[in-house]
This record gives sequence, C-alpha cells and structure tokens, in this order.
Amino acid sequence: MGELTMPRNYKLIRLTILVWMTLVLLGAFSFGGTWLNIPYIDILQHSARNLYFHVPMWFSMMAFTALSAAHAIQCLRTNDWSSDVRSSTAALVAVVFGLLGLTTGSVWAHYTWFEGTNIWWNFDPKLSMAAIQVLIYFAYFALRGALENPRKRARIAAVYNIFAFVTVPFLLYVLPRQLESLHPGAEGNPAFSEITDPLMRIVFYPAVIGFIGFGWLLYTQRVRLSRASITLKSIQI
Amino acid sequence: MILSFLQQINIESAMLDNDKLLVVLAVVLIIWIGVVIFLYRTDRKIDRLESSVQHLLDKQNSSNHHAT
Repeated sequence: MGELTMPRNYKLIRLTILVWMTLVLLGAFSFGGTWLNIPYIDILQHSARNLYFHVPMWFSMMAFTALSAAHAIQCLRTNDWSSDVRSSTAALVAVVFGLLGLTTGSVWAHYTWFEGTNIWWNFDPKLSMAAIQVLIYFAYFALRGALENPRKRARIAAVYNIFAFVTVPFLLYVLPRQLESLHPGAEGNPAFSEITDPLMRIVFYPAVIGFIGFGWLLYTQRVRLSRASITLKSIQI
Repeated sequence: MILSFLQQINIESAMLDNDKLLVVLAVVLIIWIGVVIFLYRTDRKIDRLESSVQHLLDKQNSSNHHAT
C-alpha cells in the first residue's frame, strides 16, 4: 500500500471537473430562448432539459459499475485490500447514481407520461429492470455485511461483483429493448440517437462527462476515508 | 413607475424571459456553489486525517524497527 495522500494532480482535476460542471449547468438552462432554442415538444416542453440530468445518472451508474468490476478483478488477482476498498466504493457511488436515476425518472414521468394523474411509477420493463439492477447492487452490500473475515469478504464480494456487472448491459440495454415500453429506447427504438435534437447534444455529452467526473470526486473522497480508517485500525491492534 | 424601472434593469428582464426559467438557474447555481464549498471542506478534513494517520503509521514503523 502506498502513502496516505491525495491522488496525483488531484487539485487540478477537481478544479477542472467543478468548472466543467458549472458550465454544463449554465448550458442546461441558458438555451431556452436566449441564444439557442431547444425544440418545443408537446407534453415534454421544458422538461426535455431533464435529458441533461436524468440520463447522465444512468451513464454514470454504468461507468461506476464498470470501475467497480475492474477493481474486483484486480482484487482477485492481487489480493490487495485497497482494490477491495475501491471496488466497494465504486459500487456505492453506482448505487447512489442508480437511486437518483430512478427518482428523477419517476418525477419526470409523473409530469409527462402520467400528467393529470396521481401515478408516479408503473411496471414498465425499462423501469422494472433498472430497479432490479439497483437491487442487485443492494444485495452486494448485504453480502459484504454478512461476511466477517476481511480477506474472505473481499474475495467473495469480488466474485459477486463481477456477476452483478455482467447483468448490467442485459438489464439496462438488451432486455428492455425487446419489450414494449413507454420509455424511449424500446422496441428497437434508440433511446437517444435519432429522436434527440442535435442542439441538445452540445450540453448532453458534456453533462455525461461532468457527472461521471463529479462521481469520481465523491468516489475519491470515500476511498481516501476508508483507506485512512482501515490503516488506523491496523495501527491500534 | 417602479415596475417599469425594474424592467429596464437587465437581470430583471432576463429573469422574466423564458417562463422564468432563469430563476431556476439561479437557484441551481446557489445549490451548486454550496455543494462545491462542502466538497472542498470535506477534502481538507480528509487531508488532515490522512496526514495524522500517516504520522501514526510512521511512528509505529520506526518503533518496530527499533525493537528488532
């Protein structure tokens, strides 16, 4: 294990991510009639801007599940406890993004698909599978909580983590697209590519990068805290 | 009279454009600045914690070397 310190170039990366995200937020709002108009679509109206916030939650979740699985593989190969810390922390950040994605999607649907009703959620395949995906990662933490021995926990959790990651593309991409759904991206219909105005991509892609970057900052804080706390425990013994 | 004067001020007219969308932007930016300050302060606390744990670790390592 290396020294307990911040990652290399951390301060520069942090500043870049935060400035980037500020620009994304400005872009997300200033397009409305001020200098570039996003198209006006019935029912969606200005809520179309949720594209910049709701969709990056899922991109970020996928990115952090991938990071988590990569560290899980690393943990199995090297038996290094800090890979276990990274893997479980990335899974935690992924769960946070997943829950935010479910919540924001529910609010968005309430005011568009379910406008005028009191419905917040239906068991649309896309929604159900996203919820199942988040539950699969909940189970990862339940599994970790059940195991006492740190070495054994690291290895068993890493194996489960890899299985969990394998389900991600199926639950979030393949299966929902085979089924009928209100959500864009069903029945072979692309979620994004053809039906989104090119103007919105100017903000959308940077928003995806910005949210993943912001997630990385939260992830880094948690990794450093866990490493410091585990090291402290090893000193006390 | 006062109202028309206010409407000549740029920020006021900007805020009233676009179905008051820029009011939401103002709120979001205030929240964002709060989050950023919180993140920086948490990082500072982590820096201090890490250096004190590292200090303890170094002390333990040097006393172990001394014993052997």
